[in-house]
Parts: sequence; structure tokens; C-alpha cells
Amino acid sequence: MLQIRKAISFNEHDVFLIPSKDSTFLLYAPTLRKLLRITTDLALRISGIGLFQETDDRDVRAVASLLKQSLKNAIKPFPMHLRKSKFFHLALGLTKDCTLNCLYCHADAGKREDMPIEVLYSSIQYAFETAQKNSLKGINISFAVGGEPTTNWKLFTSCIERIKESETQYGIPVHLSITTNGYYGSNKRQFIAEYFHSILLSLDGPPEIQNLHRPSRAGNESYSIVRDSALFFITNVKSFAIRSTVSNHSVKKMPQIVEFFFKEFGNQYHLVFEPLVPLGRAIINTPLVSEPSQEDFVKYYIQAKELGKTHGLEIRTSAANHKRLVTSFCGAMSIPSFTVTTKGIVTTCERDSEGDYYWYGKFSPESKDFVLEEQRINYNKALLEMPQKCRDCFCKWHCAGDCPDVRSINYDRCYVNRSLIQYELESILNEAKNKVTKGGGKNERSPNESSCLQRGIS
Amino acid sequence: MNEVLTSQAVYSEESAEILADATLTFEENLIVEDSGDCPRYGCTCINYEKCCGCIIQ
Repeated sequence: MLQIRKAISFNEHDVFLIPSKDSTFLLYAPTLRKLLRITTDLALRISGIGLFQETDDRDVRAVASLLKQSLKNAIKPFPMHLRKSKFFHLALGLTKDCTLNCLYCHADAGKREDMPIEVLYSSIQYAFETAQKNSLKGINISFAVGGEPTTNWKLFTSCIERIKESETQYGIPVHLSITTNGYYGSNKRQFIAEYFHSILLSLDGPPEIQNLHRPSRAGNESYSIVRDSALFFITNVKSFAIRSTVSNHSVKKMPQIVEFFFKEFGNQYHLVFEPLVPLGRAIINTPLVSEPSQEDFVKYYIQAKELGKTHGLEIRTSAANHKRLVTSFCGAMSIPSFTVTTKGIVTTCERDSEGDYYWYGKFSPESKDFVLEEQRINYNKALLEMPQKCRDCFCKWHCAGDCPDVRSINYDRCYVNRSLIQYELESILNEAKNKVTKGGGKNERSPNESSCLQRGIS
Repeated sequence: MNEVLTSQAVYSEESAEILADATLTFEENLIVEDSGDCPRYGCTCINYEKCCGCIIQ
């Protein structure tokens, strides 16, 4: 049995050999922006001798020649950690309380603990003063830390009022965004729609899925109220998306979720599917719901995405993105994100609702200011380093090692990342084929038309 | 979407073992590079695919 090398090098650019359909291989050189479908026999020869233009092998030479032509188009993965934002990013964890009792809540929300008003107002002041001092263009304030931000309605509205007053006082524009459970009535919906620019609503599917995953604190159904919130936000908020957490219970129903939402809500929003991650209450509720198998998630996500296309509904997931080459998954660790927990701890990640893992500062009641630790900032930045296991993976510049927080709990969604990127690469080649076919040319041949010899691959 | 630039290239004459060819644009890198001007951020950003990912649940 012959062993094929997954990754080889051409002029210091990675070239990956990926087993594909019909006994062919994809040859993928991401930084050279080149994608080929080649025969298995050619893949084996490239794996054996490498890519040299001087070789006697005419077909290997042809590939090397194509890659050489691509050198002029080469790009470098974007260094996400060096990204400079012209906005100050403040994330507020107003409360650990929640009106729902979701089986998988990452933050195990439902505790009566709110951010003290002194910490809240100081956080807002810090954001405006920092933006002013650095002549930034504006401030983004997001609510996605810990519990449902609207649970303590008085605290929530006081927060928004303070932000709007500060916006006028400092003359610095604010962009407000929120992740919310939508479990409230029309007055609250109207308030949120009036002030927020972007809303991400957690709604997992039709009633049987939503009510199982996301019951109320009293154990009642939540679908009908959240549905009304979705309908209201779709027509009253410009930037709106629905986020569906996918469990072992709902994974095979992803296409049905798309169909159901299309009938309920139309297509003027984005639908985001994310696999359940075993964190928080998801760990103790495994008899009821647990993470979906990655194979199922890929299979049904692709079906859902294809169905979404037919309905004009954009389906997304945060797994690897085939449209970009980047050096790290997100910017939170390196900016660093200024996320304030209910206890006044400053952390980089909105998932770190207690500030246990990525903290780098805290609110000082004495000075009424935030004290930041340079050493911790550097520690968090170091977490962005790509794991050794990614070295030979064709996905490495797409997922960039994936979310550091997911890695920290040893949750590995490499199968999802690799499968979805390969699906997109195959689609691109099909699209290229269709374009050429429509144009009367012929840029894709069956492997049987060529003279390849099929060999076993291990 | 990725704009796919098909290559009407030399390979058809030179190799019968190259079955298909596409040149990728990675145009979202331009968006990421320009994201300093983006007022959205992180886990609440519904366009999050373009500069970071969200897995809060």
C-alpha cells in the first residue's frame, strides 16, 4: 500500500493533496490561489518526487508550470493579530440571570448576580475616554456575556440610557449589538429595536426543538413568544440573524428547520447553525441533549445550505471559512477585546463569563478605574499560536487552528472544518467546469479519459 | 462569493492528468484587511464570518 504525502512545498508555498471523489485528488495551493483536480496516479507521483519543473515526468512538470505561473498571484494569510480597529470594543456581562433554562447553556445562566452599577458606569466611561484619547471613530458595545442581558430590565435600560447620554456628551457614535433569547413581550421588543443596530436571536427550530432545548425557567414552552420576537425584529431591525444551536436531537432536522423558518419568517435574515459544544449545563444534561456527531453535522448542514440557496436564505456557520486566509481564528485575544464580567473582571473572550481563563485586568473600587496586567495580555496573545497538528492540514489558513477556547476544552471540530472546506473547494471546481462548459470549452475531464493507473492509497 | 477564474491554460496540451483548474480570489481577505473600519464586533456580529467566529450558545 502506497503512502501519499498530504503536504508538499513549492517555492515555500504549501501544496496539499486531498483525496476526492471518483478516485481523484484535489491539489490545493492556498497561498498561490490555485486549485486543481488531478488523477490519483499523478498525485502519487507528485507525492513521491515533489514538484520540480526539471523532472522528466511531463505531467508533474505541467503542474509545476501552472504553480509557477501562480507565483505572481500569491498572497499571504492576513495577520489577524495585527488588525487595528478604529472602534473601541466593549462587551458587557450585565447579569448571570436568565429567563430561560436552556439545557446546554455555556454559562450555566440562571444565577441572581448582576453587574454593580458602579462597574457598569465605569466600563462605559472607560470606553468613551479611551476612544476619545485615541481619536477612534466610534464604540461598539455588545451584550453577549453570561446570562440574558434583558433579564434585569431596569439595569438594562439604565445601561442604554447611560450609553446614549455619553454618546451625546463625548460626540462619539455608538454601535449597539446583542445576542438575546427573545423571550419577552412587545414593549421590550420595541425598546431593543429602537436602540440596537444588530440583533442575533437564539431560536433553535420548530416548537418541538426549541421547547426541548430552550424551555422557560418554569419549564414552559418558549417558541410562541420567541417567534413573535423574530417576526418583529425581521421587520424592524436592519441587521438581524437567527442562531440555531444544533444538538444530537436536532442535527438530522437541519433541512426541516430551514424549511420551517422559511415558511415562518421568509428569507430577509441570516440563519446561523452552530453545533452544541459540551460546556456549562451541556455537560450535565447529556442524557437529554448532547453534541451532534460531526459527520451528521456536516451532512445535514450541507443539505440545509443547499436548501437555503433555493429559498434565497443565507445559511452560515462559524466553522472554517473558505473565502479567506487568516493567521488566527478571531481577534479577541490579540486586540484584546475589553469584555467586562458581572464581577468587574476584564477578559478577552465573551464566552469567558466568569473571567477565569482569559482575564487581564479588573475594576478597582478604590481608584474607580480598571487596572490592566501587561503580562496577562501577552499570555492571551500567545494562545493564538497555531497548534503543531495543523502544520500539514489544508484547512490551516481557513480555521487558523480554530477557536482557542474550543481547543482549551479539547473539543476538536477538525472533521467539520475540513469537510466543509473540501465541500466548498469541490463546488468551486464544479462551478469552474460549468462556466467552461457554458462557454463551449472543456476544462474538466473524467479520470477515465486520462491514462491514470489507479493504485491503493493508505 | 469566490469569483472563479478558470484557466484556459497550457495544461490541456501538456497533461491529460490535470482534470480541472480554478484560480481562487480570497476576496474576503480584502474585507478582513479593511475591517478596522467595521463598527461591528465579535460574538454579536451577524456578519461574523468575515472577521471572527462565534460559538457562544
